[in-house]
Amino acid sequence: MPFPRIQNHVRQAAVRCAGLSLGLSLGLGLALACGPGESARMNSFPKLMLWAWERPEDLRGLDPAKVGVAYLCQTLTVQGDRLIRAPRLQPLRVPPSAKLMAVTRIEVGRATPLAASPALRDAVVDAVLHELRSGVLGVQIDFDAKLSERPFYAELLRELRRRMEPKMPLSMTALASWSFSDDWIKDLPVDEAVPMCFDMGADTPFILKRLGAHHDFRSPLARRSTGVGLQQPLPWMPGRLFEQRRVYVFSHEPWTPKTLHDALQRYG
Amino acid sequence: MRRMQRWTLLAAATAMGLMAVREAVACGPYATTALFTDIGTPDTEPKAFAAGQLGIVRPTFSKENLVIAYRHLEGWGLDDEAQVAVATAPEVDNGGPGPEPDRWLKARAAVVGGEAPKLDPFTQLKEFNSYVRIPAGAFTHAVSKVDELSKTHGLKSAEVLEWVRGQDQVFASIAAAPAIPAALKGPDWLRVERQYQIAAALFYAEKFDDARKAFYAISLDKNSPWQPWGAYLQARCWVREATLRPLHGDPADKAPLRSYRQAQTLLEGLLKTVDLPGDLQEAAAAYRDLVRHQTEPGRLRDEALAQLAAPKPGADFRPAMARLLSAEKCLKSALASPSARLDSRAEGLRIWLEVFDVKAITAPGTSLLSEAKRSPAMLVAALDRLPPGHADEKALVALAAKVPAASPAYPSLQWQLLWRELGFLAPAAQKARLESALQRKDLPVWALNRLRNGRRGLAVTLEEWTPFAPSFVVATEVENEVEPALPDKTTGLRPQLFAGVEGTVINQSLTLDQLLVVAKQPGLAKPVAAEVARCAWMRAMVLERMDRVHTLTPLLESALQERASGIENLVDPVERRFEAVRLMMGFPGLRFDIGTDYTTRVNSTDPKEFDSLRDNWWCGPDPEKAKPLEAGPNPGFLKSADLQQALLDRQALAKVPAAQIYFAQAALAFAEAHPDDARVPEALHRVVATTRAPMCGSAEMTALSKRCFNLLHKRYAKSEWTAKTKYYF
Repeated sequence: MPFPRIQNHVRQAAVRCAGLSLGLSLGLGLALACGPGESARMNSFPKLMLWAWERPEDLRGLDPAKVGVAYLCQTLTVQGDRLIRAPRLQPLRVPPSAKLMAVTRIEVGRATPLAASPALRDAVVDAVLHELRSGVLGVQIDFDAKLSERPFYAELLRELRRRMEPKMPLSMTALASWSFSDDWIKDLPVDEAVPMCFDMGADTPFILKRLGAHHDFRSPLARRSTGVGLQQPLPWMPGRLFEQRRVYVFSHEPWTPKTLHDALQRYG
Repeated sequence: MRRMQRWTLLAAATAMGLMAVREAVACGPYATTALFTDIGTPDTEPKAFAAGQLGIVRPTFSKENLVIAYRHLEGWGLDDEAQVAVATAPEVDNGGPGPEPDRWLKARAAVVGGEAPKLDPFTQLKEFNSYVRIPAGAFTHAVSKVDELSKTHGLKSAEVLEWVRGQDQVFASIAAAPAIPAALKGPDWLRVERQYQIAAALFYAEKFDDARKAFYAISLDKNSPWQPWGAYLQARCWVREATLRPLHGDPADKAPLRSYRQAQTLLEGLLKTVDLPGDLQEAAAAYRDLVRHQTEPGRLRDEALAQLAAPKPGADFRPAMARLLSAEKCLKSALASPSARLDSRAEGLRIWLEVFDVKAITAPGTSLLSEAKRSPAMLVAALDRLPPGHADEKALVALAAKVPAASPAYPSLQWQLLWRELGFLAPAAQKARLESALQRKDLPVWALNRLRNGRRGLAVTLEEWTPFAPSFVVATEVENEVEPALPDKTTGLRPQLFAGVEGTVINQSLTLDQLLVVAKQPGLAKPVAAEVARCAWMRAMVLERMDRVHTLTPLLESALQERASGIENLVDPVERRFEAVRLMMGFPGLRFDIGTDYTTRVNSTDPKEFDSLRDNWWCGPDPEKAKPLEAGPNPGFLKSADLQQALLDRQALAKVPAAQIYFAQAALAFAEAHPDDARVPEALHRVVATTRAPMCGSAEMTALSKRCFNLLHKRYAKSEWTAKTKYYF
């Protein structure tokens, strides 16, 4: 179903921020935010994070002070009210003091749609917490939730936040289209929502055009970080005037010393 | 994060990007990307292809399709059973235990009751990964066992309960906390089952030496139902031990390979056993194949080739294909791997697949010619790969010309011959040849595009170039899923666009007069011609070239033409612009450039207020991104004076503000000059409405919207349009 008509107030004025301490937040949602209000929980993570997905990865060459790792630790597939867990099978090698964030990807089987229940919610939360190994400093949830799945997702995040260590950050990925055109994430108990501005498929021209016109993301949660593809540079990096936002970088190929260096040069 | 691409079947895309919006994963318009080249799938339906209707065979085919093509080209065909096998989508196994653990918990609950134990079939490793400690089969077997024991001994019997408790320990046994059930003395059936459970628990606890000894003891125990499985289970111990060695250990460490070889020896010995139970035979053979990927991938690959080249591969076709692909993967990292001796059929298949894997053959030699003489498949491959001017080219072309129409190789060879032949013709003859080929009904869309590319490259005038400039849409991609584009059901026309360089020529290199030539070209499909006419009309109107507007208006679609008729005759320039703007505000698809992809642009012929999910009208210049415009590309026949004029037109258009600002300025100017005109209130209302379209926002636009709003409410307070305009934003 089409998402709500975008109100005029969403149109972005040029972001001017020569040292303004805080932006205005109008009742209708227009935010000329300067400094997106980073959560203190995220302070343990560097400004540059690399996504390490389900393939053998050797990131021992990175400098833990400058680069962190958000690694896929498992994929949870929901079939109806049943949860199937597939933990990471491929090795990840990192330096001993690496700042690690464990990413759980959630997928819903096409044939059997999600049948939300407290038991299912708890099973997902149990699975996420099970993967908090020694050395893991934060959690990220990656779920491209459909409209009908959002209530379950919100409930899940609330329960997860409740059961996590209070100081441990909780991050989520966000479709770029959510971050521009929709604000359902604004009340979620997460420390950041990372708009994924790569592999956007059908949304690509829509999102690139907005970025090219220097439109920033609508939700404050989505202004704390940006997700980019190493092989897909953006026409404009949101928040570039401030250079405060965390950047998550995804590579379609296994990370190498060269691509690590490229990521650092471009986004570090 | 996007999942891996999958090729699926979806409903066909309608022309020009209008798609039904499905329930949103992403809340947004589903932009369609048009594809114009070969997408690597056969030209015929999968069933027909498997049956031998090959169409034009290309190196972009999947390996499986190349194998199928080879069999038909060589005259072997593909038996019915194999055809059915290839038509079935392969099962995807992610290797995990799936829903089986749940089934076990349900089965055990019938015996034990109470709270189910925590069950985790995975074991965490040191490099932030895990492995599948307990595969699905173990749970499946346990469920069957409970069923069997309950029938023979009763569900609630003490012995069955003891068995289930032992099994709980087995599934809980991990390296960090081994849970080894205690040995039992009797009854016999329980004692031997317990021995198996002990061995299994040792296995899951990664105590492989002890597990091997326990399974070996079982293999000697004629009273144990597990006795035939002893060797198989010892092999499992060797393999698991090998796989758990660190992935990045010492490359010189041969221990894993030795372990795999031990496993292979055990399995091959087992498979020689007479009267082996069917399920054990199957399990041992499959496991041995798995092991052989590590010990002899080369031989495995060649055996797969032999199976694929067999007279009747039958249902083995798919597994053999899977084995070929997996063995080739393992070969890349294998230190050395012996190969099997291939018979001539398998060897021919191997060479064929290799020819398509390597770049064009550059070394002259007779081996290729002699291969092509004896093998229709090699003739197809040779002509596909051979660079023009190769020493063997003429001889191969002569061979190809003799292949009869009934041969599966005919379409491929005729296609190759066409291109080879063109190289020997003068331009006039090339044009005739290409145009004749374009009339064929049997060619796939990608091939038609290639012919059009060729013909277009020979054009020396705009009139000659235009009919061949648009490309047919071969397929559309939506959310990483590709689907062939089909002709429009009503008109029968294939969707087509001015894509790539051709689109840039239309948008950047042509004057208004030249755009008129394009729009009026008889060889151009109507939808394409109409879009060119619309864009040219918009340019002419905004640049105030009324004589061109007059000529272009009759070329517009009827809905637009009706509204546009006579605008150019208005004497007052303020009114003329006002009327043009009134028309434009009703059609948010109007702009100065044609679309060169489906993108998210509004369909130009849809009259509406605006589309909140798509791009409406045009945006103005972006001072931050502005750089000097350059002349557009020249396809070879445009005069520099025309290119210069086209550039001047673009420079003038680049100064036009965003559409909504343009509309507001025109409406306000007319309202000031003609305050009592009845058209004004509605126009002001529409201007305010257009500024809500989600593109190109600016402070200036907001200010103008407010001005229109204020004027409406101040001067036309009683108008129905004022009542409808509640906000300026």
